[in-house]
Order: sequence, then C-alpha cells, then structure tokens
Amino acid sequence: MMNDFTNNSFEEQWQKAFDDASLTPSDSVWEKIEQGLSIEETPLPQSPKNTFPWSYFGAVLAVLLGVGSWLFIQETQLQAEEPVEIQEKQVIKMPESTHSTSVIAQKENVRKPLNLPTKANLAVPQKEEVPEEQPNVLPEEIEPERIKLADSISTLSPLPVKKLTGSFQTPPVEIQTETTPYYEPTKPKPKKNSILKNVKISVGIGTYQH
Amino acid sequence: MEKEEQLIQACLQKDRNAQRKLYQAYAGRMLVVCSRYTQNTAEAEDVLQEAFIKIFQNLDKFRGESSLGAWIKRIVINVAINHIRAQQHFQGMSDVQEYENQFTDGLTSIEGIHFQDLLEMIRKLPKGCQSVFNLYAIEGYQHKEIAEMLNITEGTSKSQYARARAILQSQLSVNS
Repeated sequence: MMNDFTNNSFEEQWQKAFDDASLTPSDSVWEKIEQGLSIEETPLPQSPKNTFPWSYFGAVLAVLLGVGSWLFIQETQLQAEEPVEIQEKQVIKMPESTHSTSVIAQKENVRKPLNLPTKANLAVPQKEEVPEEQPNVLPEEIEPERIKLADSISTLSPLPVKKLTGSFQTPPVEIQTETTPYYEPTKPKPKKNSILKNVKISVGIGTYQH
Repeated sequence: MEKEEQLIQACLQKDRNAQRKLYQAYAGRMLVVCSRYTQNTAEAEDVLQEAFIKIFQNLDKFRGESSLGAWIKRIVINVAINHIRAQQHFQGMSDVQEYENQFTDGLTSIEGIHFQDLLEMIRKLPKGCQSVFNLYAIEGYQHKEIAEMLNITEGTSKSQYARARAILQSQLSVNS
C-alpha cells in the first residue's frame, strides 16, 4: 500500500482527484441567481429619488444664509445709528418752537451760578456791614406787577417784548452751529451693539465677523 | 482569453446572457467545491447561488492578477466558510491529540476512486475538521492561513487535519 504514495503525496492525490470534478447544478440555482441580480439591479432606477443634489442645495442654502445674515447685520447697524441723527434733528428744530433769545436767557440763567462770588468774595461781605446788601431792600420798593412782568420777561429774554416777536419769526439757524458759545453739540450716543454683532457666522460662504 | 475578456466586459454591462454563460462555464466545478464544504446538495446549491451573486456584484474588482477561475473559486470558498461559520460549526473545535501520530499508519491510495465517493467520505467527516481538510489537503492553504480564516489556532488546525486524515484513512482501509 505504501508503494501507491511513492510518486504522489496524500494531499496531491486528493487534489488530483478533484481537479476536473464537476457536478451539474439544478436549473433553480440560476433562476435564483437571476432573481437575486434583478433585485440588486432594480433599486438603481429608484436611486434618482435618493440622488437629489443635496450638495448643491446645501451650497445654495449656505450662500443664502450668508447673504441674509450680512444684510441683517447691516440693517441692525443702521438702526443703531438712526437715533443719533434724530436727536441732532431735534436740536436743530428746537429754535423753531421756542424763541432764540429765550434760549440765550436760559443759558444766562444757567450760567448765573458761574458768576456767583467765590469764597474770597463771599468773605468780604461777611466782614462788611449787613445794610449794604440792597437786593433784599429793592423788591420792597418795586411794584409787585412790574416785578412779576420783569421776572416773566427775564425768564424769557432780557430784550423788550416787541423785539421778541420779530426775532421769533426769523430764527437764525447759524446760531446752532458749533461756533456759537451756546451750542452744545450733542454727544453721539454710543452705538448700540446689536445682538448679532459678536455672532461669528461660519456657515459655508457666510460672512465672518470679529 | 479574448472570449473570457469579452464575457467579463459583457457581464459588467449587466448582460444577462453573458452572466448566464459565465455561470455555466464555472458552476459545475464550483458546485463540487461547495459540496466539499457542506453536508448535502441543497446546502451546496445555496452556497453556489450566494457565491455567484457576489461574483457578479464584485466582478469589477477582478484585476486579472490570477485566472478568473481561481478568483471565482476563492469567492466560493469564502462564501462557504461564512456559511459554515454562520452555523457555528467551528465552536468547540480544539486540539485532538489522539490523531497526531497516525500519519504513517497504513496510507491507502485513492487512485481509481470516483470523486463522488471521495466527496461522500469528506461529508462524513466531523463538521470542524471537514473544512480544515478541504483547505489544507485540496485547496493547499497553510495551517497559519487556515487558522486566520476559521478564527482558530494554528495548533487546532493541525490537529483537526490529523484527525480528518486518520478518519479518511480508516475509511479507505475498510473499503479496500
């Protein structure tokens, strides 16, 4: 029995025995293969539903979001700047409603405290006698009606009433320029930081704002 | 070869007639391969069907580095092993020491024995060592490769092969 393996090993004999071996499969095998391949191939026509260009849609959406956010930011910035302009316009319109001289008078009234005597000036009257203080005496000598009129006029303007009407009709607009001493330029209010000012947009091609 | 190239190209174009020709060219030999790894014809045909569907699905990956027949056979073997693994035939496979030293005991020639008789002998092997015998003796894989393919140790592959060989020898001795 050993002589049978002199030329071929055990494994080689088995390999040789099955080299050209063939069996005929039943017809149902190919039919099942064909069905299996058909099932695999049929989803392909349905694939266009799934092949919607989401990438292009996403790109377009990203661009729209970017442009929209940029416009929104611009609009919010403009809205934040608008109140400053409105206040400036109000200041310019103020002389139209009130007399210019009354403004001057108010400014003088306001500036009166600046003309108040300093501590050095105050110290001198204290040393002097009290009767020299005439302002306390004068109101008693002036008639009450004139005092009222003078007070009312002094609060409006030091000028006569007739001149008030003339000057009221032609308000000098130049007074409100920065050269006039009574013009107080409105301090520009700090710009309101919009909510989205510090929002960093990183969507696609969108704007990137620091 | 040109005809085979044309057949492959036609199969890649989903030409059903070309696919059928390719199937008919290799199905008979591949059914024998499937039969060696399975227990009956129905199970072998199930493996053959699954294997050929995979062959047609992956035919574009065939680079011609080996012959088309060898490429097809490799896919059939892989499908067969996965089929067996799904049935958990490899669970509990371990070293079988009692067959280690039986290689030289009465080697019997298989010349003149029809392959279908040999096929029946292989099918009667225990499920674990059947695959090891096919892979080592007939397909020509090394035990290290078999260990990786079947997810077993190299020692287990060797001992299972020794067991299979001893069983076959004993059957051949009885038949002769």
